[in-house]
Amino acid sequence: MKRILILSLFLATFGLSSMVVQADTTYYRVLADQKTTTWADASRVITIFKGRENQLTEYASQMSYLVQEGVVDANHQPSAETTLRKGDLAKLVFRALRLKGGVMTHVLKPWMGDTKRYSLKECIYLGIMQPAPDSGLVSGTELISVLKRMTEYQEGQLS
Amino acid sequence: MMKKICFSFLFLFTVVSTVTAQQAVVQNVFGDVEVQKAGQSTWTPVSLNAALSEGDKISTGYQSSVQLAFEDNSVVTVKPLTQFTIHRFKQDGSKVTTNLNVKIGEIRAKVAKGPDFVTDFSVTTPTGVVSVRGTEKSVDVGDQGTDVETHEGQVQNENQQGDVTGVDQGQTSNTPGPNEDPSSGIESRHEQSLSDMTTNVGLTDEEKEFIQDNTDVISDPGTIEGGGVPDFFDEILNDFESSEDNYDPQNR
Repeated sequence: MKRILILSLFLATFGLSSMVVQADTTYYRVLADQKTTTWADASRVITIFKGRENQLTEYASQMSYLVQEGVVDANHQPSAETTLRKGDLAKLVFRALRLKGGVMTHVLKPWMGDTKRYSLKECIYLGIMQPAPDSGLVSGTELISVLKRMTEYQEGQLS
Repeated sequence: MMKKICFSFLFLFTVVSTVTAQQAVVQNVFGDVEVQKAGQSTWTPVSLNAALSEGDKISTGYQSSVQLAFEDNSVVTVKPLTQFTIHRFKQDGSKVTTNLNVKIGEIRAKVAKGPDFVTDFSVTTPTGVVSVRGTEKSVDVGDQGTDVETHEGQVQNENQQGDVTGVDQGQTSNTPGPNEDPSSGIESRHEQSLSDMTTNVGLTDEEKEFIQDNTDVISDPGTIEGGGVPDFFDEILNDFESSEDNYDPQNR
């Protein structure tokens, strides 16, 4: 009986404490200082948005999940170091939020799929991204702001 | 001589003792919230009832937030994905000075009004300073610049150029960032091409004036008021297009 009590006490002390998820905001602090971002940042941010960050820590696993979810095209998977452009990010956001888009999106979809240009236009229209050319680079601050607004949009809080 | 030294010490002691550092207490924590204490390099998770003071930095993660109760009864709610520093939090006599430096993210501040003290509460952002006295406001810093929303009372929003705008109750105000508003770049490029048009094709003053007055609608001439586009406008466009075809960056 004594042994069981000691074992229980040991488990309660070390076992449960190790289960407590440590608060970690390091990634957001590092990201906020980045002048440009990469596809690795985009895949991580979209995975965070989808609530799968803890399970999918590697770029490859995040990308295969995003392909499976229909967010990334199976035949277009840039390397992790590839610089992220606003058009690419808009397309990821468009698909992650399952947006429908406007007339041009529907007209072009059968031939061209979701285009960067009209995905960005839709994201700008909804207030998720700021007006800019689709070839523009994405800063860390912008990526954090987009993640924030995606969440607000999904919760119906984006004004 | 001894008397003078004693008085000097007494004077210094009085001055130093009236300026007191204040503290903020963590009321609620939700999710990933970390603090970097002033003078330290490590970040540690914030715990309930922890005391924060001048120089401390706070960082919140995704879907995480924290509520801070300041000693002057002001309450600050830090929203998800926010990074800020308690830059100044001091009481000097009856004046409580609070300055929060928000790098990115959103905070909502309910600033206390007190009969016994004067509150000087301000939020510094990359685009300016937002200051209030006895009110409730939200400050949102991101790629759009700084958004200020006044929930109660009035807020003064000062940009980096020193222009001050009042934001009344229920109103919102936006201060775009210096390099973070891509649309301003597009406009300036648009204006530049209009300027090229007027210089390249040798327009009359009347024609130049027409272009300046219709800068906003020039990309959609059908919207120009007054029954359509003057004949010279088509000529200008044609001339400009041909000059663009012959454009040589080396000889510019």
